[in-house]
Amino acid sequence: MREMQPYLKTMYRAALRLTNNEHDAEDIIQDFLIKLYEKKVEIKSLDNPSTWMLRGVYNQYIDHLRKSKRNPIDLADSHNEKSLDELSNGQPDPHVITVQHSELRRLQQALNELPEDHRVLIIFHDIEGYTLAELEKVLGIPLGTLKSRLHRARKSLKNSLFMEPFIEPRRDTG
Amino acid sequence: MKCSQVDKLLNDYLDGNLSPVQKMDFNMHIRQCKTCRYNIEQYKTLLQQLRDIPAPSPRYGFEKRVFSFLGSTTSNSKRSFRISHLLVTGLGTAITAGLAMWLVLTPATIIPNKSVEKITIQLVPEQTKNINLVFHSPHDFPGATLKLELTDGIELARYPGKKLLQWNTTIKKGANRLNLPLVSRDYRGGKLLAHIIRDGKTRTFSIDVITSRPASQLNTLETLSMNSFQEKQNV
Repeated sequence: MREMQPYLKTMYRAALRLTNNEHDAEDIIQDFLIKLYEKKVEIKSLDNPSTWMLRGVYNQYIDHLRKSKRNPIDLADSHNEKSLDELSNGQPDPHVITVQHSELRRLQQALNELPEDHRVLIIFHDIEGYTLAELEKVLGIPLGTLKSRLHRARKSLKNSLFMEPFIEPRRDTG
Repeated sequence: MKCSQVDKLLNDYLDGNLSPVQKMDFNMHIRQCKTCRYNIEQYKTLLQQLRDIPAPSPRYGFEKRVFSFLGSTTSNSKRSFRISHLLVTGLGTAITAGLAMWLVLTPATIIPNKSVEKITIQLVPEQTKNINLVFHSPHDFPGATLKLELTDGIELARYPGKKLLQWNTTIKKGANRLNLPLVSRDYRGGKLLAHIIRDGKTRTFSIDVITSRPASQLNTLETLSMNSFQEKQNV
């Protein structure tokens, strides 16, 4: 299981970009590792470990999403009793501080407002740099569909970020 | 090459997948067509901004935490790991939130009608704050309904625009944590009502939201509003 170590940060980064929440991202990675551990998966035997693991993280994220939609109440431990004062001394999350930069916040907000399948594609392709051929395996979606989805996703994102107050001028050629 | 063809090949161009001939035709068109050139510049800026989003690093102790289950092999010890993991997650979220509400539901208190617990929190517009409502229950309560009502001006980050949300759920024995990523869209403030309904009876928790400006923005915002006021006077 220690052979997973080189891939951990990449997997965590993908999970965090998908969930926008550090704790959920850690949950996803941990649940994924438990599955690998239980199935006794040998990393060395995999053809393309990083793509294979991204697929695993993505599937775990889908599971997580389904669970959180089905039941918004999580079971915490019954001995988890802390006073309000003890709980209120937390330091701001570094990830949250980073996204407070205004331009970045606008971009992040526009990204979060995309339909989920568009958002996932932008995260994996444009931010994390996976090719569409790789994502065909990761997401289990045909290349042609991915291409047209990417076209629409980028267009929506561009339109929401560079919103023009005036109607687009007529094209002068073609 | 026509504008429509440029649009069709746009993503292959941006991803560097055009053949040399296609690339030459493409470049020739955008040199001549101001609209397409402007459009492509916007796409390039967008892609650069996306690539520049900082790569987040895991919190301290991440590897230790995620590998913590490796020491045990029996199903019981794995189960213990899961429980402690949930505890850490619940606590961690509450600490990040900076605010948690601990409310006790006992068989006697879950039922009364018109029972309202009131809490006030402060938000900065457009900044999500995770609020944890923690319900303690001595028993399982299956078949409960959880209903959330939000006034205009506030919403849950995962459910933009939704003013009424409802789930059928089981209130489990022990602490039940409900994470609410609250965000205020303006300076009006608002109110969130969380109702737990069981057997036709309701218990309501009321969260009053007041909004404030971040200290760093106070001067800027005040200056802006003063300027717009002066402009109106001049007109």
